[in-house]
Amino acid sequence: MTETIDIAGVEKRFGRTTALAGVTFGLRPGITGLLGPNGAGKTTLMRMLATVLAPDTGRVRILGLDPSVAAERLAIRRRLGYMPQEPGFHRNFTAFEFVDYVAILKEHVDRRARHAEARRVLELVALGDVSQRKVKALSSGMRRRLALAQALLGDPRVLVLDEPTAGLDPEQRLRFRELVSDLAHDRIVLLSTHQTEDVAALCRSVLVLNNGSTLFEGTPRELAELARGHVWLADDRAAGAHLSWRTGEGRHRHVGDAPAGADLASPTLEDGYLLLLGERPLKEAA
Amino acid sequence: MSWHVDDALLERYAAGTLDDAWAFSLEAHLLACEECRARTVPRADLARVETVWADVQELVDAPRRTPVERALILLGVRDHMARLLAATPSLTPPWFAAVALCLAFAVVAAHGSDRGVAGFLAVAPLLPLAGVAAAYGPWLDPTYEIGLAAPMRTFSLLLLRSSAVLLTTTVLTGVAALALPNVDWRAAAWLTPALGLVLVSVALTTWISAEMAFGGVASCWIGGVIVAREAGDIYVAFDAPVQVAFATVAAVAAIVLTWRLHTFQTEREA
Repeated sequence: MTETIDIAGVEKRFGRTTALAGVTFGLRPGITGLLGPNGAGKTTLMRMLATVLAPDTGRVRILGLDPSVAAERLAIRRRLGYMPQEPGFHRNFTAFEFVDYVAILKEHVDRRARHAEARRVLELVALGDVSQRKVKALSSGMRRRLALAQALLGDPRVLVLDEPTAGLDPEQRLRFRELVSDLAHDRIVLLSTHQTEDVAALCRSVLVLNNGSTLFEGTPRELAELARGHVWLADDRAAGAHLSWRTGEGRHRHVGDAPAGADLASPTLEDGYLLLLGERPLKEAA
Repeated sequence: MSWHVDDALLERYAAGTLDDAWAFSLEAHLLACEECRARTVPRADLARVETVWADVQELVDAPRRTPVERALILLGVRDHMARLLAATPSLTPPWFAAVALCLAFAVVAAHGSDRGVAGFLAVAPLLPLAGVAAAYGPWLDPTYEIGLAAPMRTFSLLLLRSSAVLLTTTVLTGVAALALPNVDWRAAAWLTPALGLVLVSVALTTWISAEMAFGGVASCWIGGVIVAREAGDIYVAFDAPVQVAFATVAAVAAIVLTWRLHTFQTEREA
């Protein structure tokens, strides 16, 4: 089975709103970060890759299989772990019962084997100690990890994780990075997030969406390099910058077209991302 | 600790042939004696220890079965199917209690006047309709989105839950109907409309949202009953021609549902 995801010319509309406007990209094993502002089409794309949503037009191949064909869609789902942006829970279930329930939906029929698998994924996300606690009594961070645990059931070849680090505290985020980086060496992980530092820390490649179109596809380093020569520090706020903010040291960090002789700073992935989003409206207006 | 377990006893304990009284006594000693614990480890059959540990974990972790789940398993339903059914909002004791209360009111009202029986017949088909509406869908099933991406076929889950809801509601309504005054054919006149309304609603969900489908069909039913009442004879809504019409509608809806089965495999966006 081909260990790839290929998307070509995918479009999706909801009424008059275009969520995806001809998106094309390819994914290989490793972690790919999906960045974009709210409404960029990230969740639509994630749901499409999770086989929950069908495209209006375009070609989607997941592990070489076509999700529009029933038998192939089933084969994909058997190899897929999906963590939705807003996962729902039966709140009266315990953490263990919730994972056990999803395991049944994932065709884990044998009771003992299913329970062993539920224990395994709960241990993976460090929820083994609270597995008998009701979901409604878990913190939001724990619920996030619980949602991740169900996605890991059955050791899937493809993981589609929609904002998995939202609501996690710094320690939990580090644990998440540790876990996902361990998992990703031989499987495809697509990670949608607003946290550029997660992408910088984890991802082999990055995709930036805006208004349903692909703005950038490349490595995190390449995204950061887009901003080289466009990030500078100054004592005062410069009027011409796309974005600027006062740093903890009291100087102003600017992203945009640097003036001659500016004190250029080394760009980060976030700078590249901000520059990419910031330039687009200016170009459209020109 | 002034004494230690002798080798023969340890061998028998490790082999699992020691009787319970001796084993409990020895375990109490092992908890306190590091030296004897160390002597036990090499004698232990690791495979057997792992099996015992797995049994202990299973006992601790195994989800508690709800009353509904226990009842289903007693009826021969497999463990995983029972769990899927027990998570259905309209297969829980509070739901059954609400249905029973509705039926009790309808039966009491029926004893008040002849029109009361008509009230029972008007309400009865709405109960399975509400039960099926609550059985599956994005509005009441919190794991709907996760379930869509899971290999278990969405329609299989809907069918499983709807069948269970229809069965339980039919039994409850059937029992209530026996308490109606002057029981005759009319006590069962709600069955065909109920089946027709449920199948039409589910078929409509392949085009429109579940809220619109179930809400719209329920409204049409209530509207139809009111029209019949205003026309002078509410029982017209349950006469033989209407029964045949509902049976036909149910059959057509079932065919449409079969034709539209594929739409259950991804989100219906309407």
